[in-house]
Amino acid sequence: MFERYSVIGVAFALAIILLDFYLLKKRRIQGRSFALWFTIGVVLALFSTVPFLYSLLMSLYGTQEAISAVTATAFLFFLLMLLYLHTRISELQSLLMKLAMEISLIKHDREQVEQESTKVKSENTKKRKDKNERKTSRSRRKTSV
Amino acid sequence: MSLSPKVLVMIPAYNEEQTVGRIVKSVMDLHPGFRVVVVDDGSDDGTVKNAAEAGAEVVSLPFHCGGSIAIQTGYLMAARHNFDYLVKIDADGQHKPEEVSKLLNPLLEGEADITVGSRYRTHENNNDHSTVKAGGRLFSSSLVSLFRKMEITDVTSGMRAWNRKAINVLMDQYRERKIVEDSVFWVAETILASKLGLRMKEVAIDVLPRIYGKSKSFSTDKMLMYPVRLITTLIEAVLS
Repeated sequence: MFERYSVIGVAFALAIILLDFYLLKKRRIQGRSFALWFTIGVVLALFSTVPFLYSLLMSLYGTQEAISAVTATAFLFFLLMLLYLHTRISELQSLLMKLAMEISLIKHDREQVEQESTKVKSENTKKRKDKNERKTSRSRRKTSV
Repeated sequence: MSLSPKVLVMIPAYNEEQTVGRIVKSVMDLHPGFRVVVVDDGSDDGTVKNAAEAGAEVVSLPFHCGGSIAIQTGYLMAARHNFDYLVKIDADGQHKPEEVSKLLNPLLEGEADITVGSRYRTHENNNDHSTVKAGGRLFSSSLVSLFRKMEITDVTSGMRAWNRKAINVLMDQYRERKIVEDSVFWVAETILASKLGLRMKEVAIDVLPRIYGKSKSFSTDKMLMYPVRLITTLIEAVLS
């Protein structure tokens, strides 16, 4: 018979892996995040089914209690995860700011071009109007002569 | 073809509706040949309207990104539109528009690539009433001077001018780097410029008291975090 913790652990691991595949299918996570969470699911499944891994961890930390070894490992892992996420947020923030700069300049340049073209258009309309007026007055003069 | 240099005056502004129009007008009156751009950092008051009415071009960031991004937007504009010189003054009325020429002269004469307006080069109107702020400025200036073996008295000064070489070199660097915190932007840029071999020169300027509102660069949390950010900037400079 399996221990209860093994059943819960494997169930969680399976849930993580299935959710990971679902999110990938829906394109809500990228390849890098998929790989990370898939690995987490597999490691959780391994720890839930292979008790030898606990003894390995216990000897590594020099403790007699499996729970201390698991807690310490989880703590270190989440610290690393936090650092990774922090780095990613900084990278994304930089990209967002650069994008904001580009958008504002493109918008400004487009407005300038639009203003210029409106100016040119109104000048052309005025020129055409003047030309037409000159033509009309010339033809009137011809008629009167 | 005109032989006069292309100069862009950038005025980054965030909720400065009371002063921005006056600053734009006086820069345009004093220097009719210069292009004046107000980089609006997502203001939610009448800053954009007042700047445009005063005759400035307005570049609006889509949301409040912070002073350093507004300044870098000015660099990007100067680089993209091939300006020969870029001058930055504040929108809060603390910098005198008539001192723009003072900053440009050393650049025009080829004495420097970047000029920094220093309130401590003169003992007249430095308007440094807060001991904490003055202490912070002097401390960071001394640290940078010591660290880079250069003489700078007002490293946090935001009244600066750059020639085309400096703009392009700095833009290349900013493209690759992460965003620098607003409070240490000038410190980081001064160190970067000195490392890149750009020649810097300080010019004595007067700094006037704020006409309206509170300074956005000196909130309590920013002041408390400033030493940490300053040290981080120095460590980063050593490592990079």
